[in-house]
Amino acid sequence: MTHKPGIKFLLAFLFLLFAFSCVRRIQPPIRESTPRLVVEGLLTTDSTPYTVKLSYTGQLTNASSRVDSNQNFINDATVFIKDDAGDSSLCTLISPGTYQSTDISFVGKVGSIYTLNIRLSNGKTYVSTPEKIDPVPAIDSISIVYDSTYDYDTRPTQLIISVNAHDPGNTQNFYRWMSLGWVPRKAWGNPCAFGSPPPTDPFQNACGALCLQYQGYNTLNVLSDQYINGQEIIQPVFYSPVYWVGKHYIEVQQLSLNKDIYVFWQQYLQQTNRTGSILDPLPSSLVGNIHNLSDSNDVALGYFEVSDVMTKKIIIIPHSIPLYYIESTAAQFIPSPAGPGGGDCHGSIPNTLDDNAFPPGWENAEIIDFY
Amino acid sequence: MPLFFLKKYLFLLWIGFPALAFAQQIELKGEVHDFDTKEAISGATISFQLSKKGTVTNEDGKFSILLPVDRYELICSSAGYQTTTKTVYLFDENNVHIELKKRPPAELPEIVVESRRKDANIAEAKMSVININVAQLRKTPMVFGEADLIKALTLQSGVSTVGEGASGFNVRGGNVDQNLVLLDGAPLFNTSHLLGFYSVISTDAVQNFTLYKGTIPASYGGRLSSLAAINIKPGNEQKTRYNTGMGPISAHIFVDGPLNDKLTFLAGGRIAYPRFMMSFFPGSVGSSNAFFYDLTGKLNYKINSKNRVSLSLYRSYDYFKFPGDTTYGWQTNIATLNWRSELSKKLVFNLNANYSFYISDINGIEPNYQFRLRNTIQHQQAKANFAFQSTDNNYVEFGGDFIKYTVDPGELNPSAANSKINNIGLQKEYGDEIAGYLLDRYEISSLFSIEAGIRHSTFLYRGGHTIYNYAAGQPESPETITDSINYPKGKTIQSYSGWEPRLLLKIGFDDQTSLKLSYDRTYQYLQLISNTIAITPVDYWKLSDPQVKPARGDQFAAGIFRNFSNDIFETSIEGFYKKSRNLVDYKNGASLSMNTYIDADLLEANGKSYGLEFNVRKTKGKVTGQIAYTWSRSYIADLTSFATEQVNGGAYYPSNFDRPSNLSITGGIKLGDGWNLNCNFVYVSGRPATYPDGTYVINNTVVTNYSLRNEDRLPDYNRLDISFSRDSRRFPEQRKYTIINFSIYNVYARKNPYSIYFQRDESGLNSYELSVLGTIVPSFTLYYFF
Repeated sequence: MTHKPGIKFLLAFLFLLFAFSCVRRIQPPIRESTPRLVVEGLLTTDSTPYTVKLSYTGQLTNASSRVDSNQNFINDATVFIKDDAGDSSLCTLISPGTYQSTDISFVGKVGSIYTLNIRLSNGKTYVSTPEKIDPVPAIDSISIVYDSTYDYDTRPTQLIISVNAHDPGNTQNFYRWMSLGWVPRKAWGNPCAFGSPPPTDPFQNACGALCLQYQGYNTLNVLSDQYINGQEIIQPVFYSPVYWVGKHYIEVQQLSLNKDIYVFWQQYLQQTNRTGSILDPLPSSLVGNIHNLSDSNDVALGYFEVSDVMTKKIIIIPHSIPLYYIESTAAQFIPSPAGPGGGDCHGSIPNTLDDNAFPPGWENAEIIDFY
Repeated sequence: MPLFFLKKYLFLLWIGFPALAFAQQIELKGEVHDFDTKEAISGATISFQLSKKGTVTNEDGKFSILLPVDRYELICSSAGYQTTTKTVYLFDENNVHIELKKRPPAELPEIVVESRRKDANIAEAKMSVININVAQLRKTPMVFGEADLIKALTLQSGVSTVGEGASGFNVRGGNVDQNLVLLDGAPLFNTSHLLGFYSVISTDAVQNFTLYKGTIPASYGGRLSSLAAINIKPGNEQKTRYNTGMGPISAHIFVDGPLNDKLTFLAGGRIAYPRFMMSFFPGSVGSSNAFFYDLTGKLNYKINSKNRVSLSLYRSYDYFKFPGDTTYGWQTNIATLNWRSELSKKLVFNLNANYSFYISDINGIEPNYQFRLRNTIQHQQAKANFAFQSTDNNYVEFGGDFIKYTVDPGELNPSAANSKINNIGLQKEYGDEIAGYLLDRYEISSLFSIEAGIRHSTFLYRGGHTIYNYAAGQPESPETITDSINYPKGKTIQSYSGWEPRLLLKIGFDDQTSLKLSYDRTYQYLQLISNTIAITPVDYWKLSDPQVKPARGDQFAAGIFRNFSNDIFETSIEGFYKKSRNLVDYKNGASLSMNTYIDADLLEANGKSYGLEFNVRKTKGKVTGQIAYTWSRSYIADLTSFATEQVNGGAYYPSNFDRPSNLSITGGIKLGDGWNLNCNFVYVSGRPATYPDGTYVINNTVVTNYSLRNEDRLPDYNRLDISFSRDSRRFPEQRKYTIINFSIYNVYARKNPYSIYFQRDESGLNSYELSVLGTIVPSFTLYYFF
């Protein structure tokens, strides 16, 4: 049950005032504050290395400047994760502000308790509260719906991918879903060289016209079973844009969350969805589960999340989306210059694989024919 | 009621008796009626030439005063009527009947605020009281063509609101839930239509509207900030009248009149059609929907000359649908039965029984998760009041009050067959509030008077309920619950009680100047749970329980009142200091909806506010008006000892409705031929806001950090409204007439900031200022009376 009264009430007000309301851009006040530690860490039952990101909050010196690139990464901290059995893994710096676990044998286990330790160069040590990994139920199945709505400015039509799972009735459960995908894209392609493979795009008689593009899904997707305890869960987890005919490669992860992390993400949603309406919840800092070891009132921003994870990789083969429909709703997403010789797909569309390349890791994926 | 309380209240009655001394004078009684309609006129001033004495008619239009035997020139006046003089010989005539003729429209006083007597502000032992002249609102500037009680209230000193279109009002820095709004004695738990744009009570059903900003009489209690008393019109005794009106988004019709010689009625309602206007707008506006109506009815039965019974019924309904997947609805149902009996010439008994039921619904229509979330509050009350006019300068009132509350903080139901939502209900809350009171208004001399009151209230939090106990020394959370206790139905779980003294002193220097001092204490046993700046339909009421203590308010006020030029100009300066304890605040990230452990997410807070209110009014002549300026501050501080839970480190910080400067100028000019020009000018400091003071990245999204609440402030607000209105009455008795009102709201189209919000795009974080009514809003309303 998603429930964001703030946004809706703002809309309501805008309606109420018909054409009388107006919005204008202003220069905001600037306030200085001391930098605070920001932590973002995730440990799962998956065996991939775990990352912990550390930074300080940036000054809002000029609100219209790009703060995104002005992150104050912390590159000289000592970071390790330890469990209740006495094992630990050091995390070393792999890129600015990002630390990665080094011990491949250190893998999260359901029922074990983990703590994140961060020693900063100024001598302060921050620790997370000990977090236990709760089990997450399996993904029963994946359901797909074709959404034939589109917006010429932002997206073509799309496949809505939902997971189906059964919430256990005897426990309180909190969920998070993370997903990504590779979707077919089309460019005009290049004239095929002599002796090269047959044209990848039979319609244009051009080579290098089709490729797969990475699609991340940054929208936070969390759920509590507070209102649906013991029920079937049908949760939309990925919106795969239909730019062109072809297979969609989707990975879905279903994670368990601890209650304090769920509360943290709820606050995160509240803060990032603020509309400025007087019907917004009052703003506050996003304090998670990390505090100064010697002063529990000195709390860091951010969180250390531990999760059991169920991963499902699928390949969707859409059969029933007519080509003329795709052409009419997605044509403007074919990069210019128009016409044969306008450039190959990989070169003209960002975050794409080489022409005809297959995304790694989908070798054993479940294939779903979608009609 | 336990014997203990009974004794306490008997004690209260007993200590009042010494005041009931008799003077060796003759009683003059009388009645004042409208010449035209024969309706009783309440609040008419009775004064006597060459005498300092005077009185005011009661709600039946009757008065009684003790005077030495003599010949008197009685002067009777009332707002909207021509003043009448009558010679009275008080040795053979002790019952006078006065009929007042309505003033021709050109002479109607063009002021919003009506004083009861021309020097009432000086002479009466009353302060911090506002009366709204309801009929006059039809001529003042309107928004979208609706005359509105609460909008008129916010033009008065000491009353503010968090923003244009926000629900409710704030009195002297108090929260919206600290106002006791009574409709014929029954409380309204939500005063707003359309999410706050209009008040739920149609002005056309209202007889009078009075707001006490402080020094609430001891006969009332239960809220910290104010008492707003709305009385429904009793119904004309002479003939059936129709009152109709139509504006851009709503229309109303009210009918009142006699059914027979003992029974009068009023019935009618208002219906809104905002959808009609919305349909002209594209996009999400066009696909939204809203609707409201309210119905009011009253029956008034004269059993005999001493007994009268009245029944009031009221219902309001609101529906709001957004383009997305949620609809909101809220409704109020009220029934009030009132019996008034003159037990003797001096003793009047009043019994009021009322029932108020408020329902708020949220309906989710998202596929697979369709639900209805409902919260309700039910209030049942019986109040017995004795009013005793022992002498012409001593008035005593005493009585008792019993309230039964049933609160359902939330019940969630699936609203479709395939919905995955479970049926979940939170525990209902039950509480009883019992109070007894005594007040004595004693005029020691024409210059000194005192109103002393004492109220004792007790609140019992009752089962069936499960109470959770939390570990000491740790922040409360579901994880720190040590045990839970089940209390059976009716069992008292927790009781609170306290004395509420009220005191008001008037010291006159001459008949044009007086100084008034007051102190009052109030307890509040229920608070609104709302973590937003303005009230929303999601909010619900919470009774005091073992964890949430009753709120307590103390207010000191002092004022100097002076009239000039034969009471044509009234001026006053009032200062106040208010301290409130045990207010509800919220932990950061508190989850308020459907929370079984809501106690664990609430914080105890203290509030304080203080201010100065300056008023200058001109009540007579061609040009009338008022200048009201308030300077005030309002703060709140959390009491928790756990630093991680404190907002702003536990220090006092400005409350959401801290608006230091508040100036409003209202004025009217009679243009002749029934035409009036009215205008309002408002200048208010911006409300506190929280601006970001840091930024960081989480989940690949840039997040702004807000570390200190309400440290910033929106820019100031100012606005001018003008209205031209015409009253077609040629003579006061005219039966058919029209009033037209052409209003322009926000004449100079100022883009007043309603809120500032922050949004991110490719260029970084940007600030935007939203103006709600950022342009000229014209409207036209027609009233037709027949």
